[in-house]
Amino acid sequence: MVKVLPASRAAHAHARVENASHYLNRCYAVERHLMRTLAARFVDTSQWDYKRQLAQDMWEASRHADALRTRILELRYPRRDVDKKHHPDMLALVAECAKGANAEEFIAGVYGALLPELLRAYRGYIELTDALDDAPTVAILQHIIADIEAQIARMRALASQVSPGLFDASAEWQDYLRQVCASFGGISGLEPPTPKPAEHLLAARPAYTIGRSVERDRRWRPALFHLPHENKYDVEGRTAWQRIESLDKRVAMQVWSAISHFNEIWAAEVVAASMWDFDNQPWDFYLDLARWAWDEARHSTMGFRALEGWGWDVPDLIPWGNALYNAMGPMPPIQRLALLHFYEEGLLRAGTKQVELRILESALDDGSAQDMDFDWADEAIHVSYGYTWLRHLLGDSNAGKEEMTRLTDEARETVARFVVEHKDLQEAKLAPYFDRLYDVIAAMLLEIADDHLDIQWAPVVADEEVLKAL
Amino acid sequence: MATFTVTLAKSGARFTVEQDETILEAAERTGVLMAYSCRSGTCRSCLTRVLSGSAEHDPEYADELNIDAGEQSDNYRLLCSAFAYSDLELEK
Repeated sequence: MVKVLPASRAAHAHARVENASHYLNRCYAVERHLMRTLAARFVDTSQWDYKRQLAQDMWEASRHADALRTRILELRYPRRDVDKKHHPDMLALVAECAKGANAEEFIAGVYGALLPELLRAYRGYIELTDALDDAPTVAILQHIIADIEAQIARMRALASQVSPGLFDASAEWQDYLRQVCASFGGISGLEPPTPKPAEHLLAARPAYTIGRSVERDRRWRPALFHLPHENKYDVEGRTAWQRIESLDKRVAMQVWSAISHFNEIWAAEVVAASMWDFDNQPWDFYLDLARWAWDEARHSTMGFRALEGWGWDVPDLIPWGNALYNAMGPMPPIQRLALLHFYEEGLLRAGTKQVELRILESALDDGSAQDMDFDWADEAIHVSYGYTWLRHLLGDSNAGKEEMTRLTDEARETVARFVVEHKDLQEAKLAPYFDRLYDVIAAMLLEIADDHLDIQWAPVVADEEVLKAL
Repeated sequence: MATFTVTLAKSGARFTVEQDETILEAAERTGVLMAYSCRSGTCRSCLTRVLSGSAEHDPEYADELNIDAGEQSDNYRLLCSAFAYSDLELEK
């Protein structure tokens, strides 16, 4: 016999560091792979309201995963295991969610089954742990729970507007995913596992693969390009745009910047696709690209907000192109990322954003100037991301630099050839948009005092040299 | 306090730079428009070749700058994070 004091208090048997880190590691695996899946399905989704919501939730999932990863490492969990050994059951669960047959079914599965299961796991963890000993985890999970509750509420509200009955129509799919989750003992892994739903009608679908071309929301007419600098062969489109320019360089910049921002969605798609295509990269690669993709989706939303703010019928008046993403579709993922980085670095080094901001300030358009200002700050971060991760992927050496140049040159030529091959299609013509837009703009112009702004501006035509060679 | 003159080779613009200000800060103070973005040496918008004279990056942040050793030995500098140590001519 030995002597002890009685226990000072009762504690839950599960509330120990090793149990905590294993539980949280299952949640981390779900958040991490949900982030990548949301990124991929964002690319594949054309419906604009769903698309931008998926982008936001993808970024939030990256923040959740990052906070969980940091906390798991604090709980004596080996770094190598956190980064390399993701729980196979949780990977399988998210992989099943990715198989939703279309955007609507995917959304119903994630927001109707997976995220509620994740919420249940987080709440269950808080019940099991000690709020004092494990306070850092509790604080993290309380934030994540609030985020996910908001995500579900937003998407359900959106679905009730865009696709009424979406969740009811996909009830069987959600039920299947819940059964898959239950077969793994829930996300917590602490529940008794149920039999795998191998005989379920919706089981055994092929693994999800990301699309290599994108379509725009059906409310818009199909369009390849959005502004005349993309396709120098569209003489009528250029002439129609020049009529808008002739109104005032400030007017032209207001419209140009809004249309440009709105069409930045292609950049979000390239980055989001990279998050799916590149496997086994360092965690910070995904964290940075999640932010990059979300930023570009926000920029697109900024443009849309400005265009709507003028009271315009955006789908009728504004071209929403898909040529840039689709021209890059067949390229290897690293080449697409290299080309995007080339474009973004070129814009900043040309000082384009500074000039555009000055012109918008001269127009006394506070909203557009504010959008441009924050866009500019974001783009500076993106160039740093591109510089960092392309060096990581290609090697920090002269050979890596040469490969970067080769990839970029080849990609520029591929895009230029795409333009040449598609230049005569009806979807390549911008004049019908700008002719109508001119009348709308001319009818709503205001006069302000002339500040005699002495800045000439022209868009950066990054591939003029390549186009000449063709 | 030492003051140096910076000359931009392409535009011909000239401005003075004080010892305790970056070359970009001096350009802004004197109203010379230069491309920049992050002001922290990470976006490379202000990467410029020094044709003559001596300019060096802030040693306190040298490890955080997005410029490689080869570029530095070719006399490229990030103007948002570089100080002048003599009169300079820049390839801008």
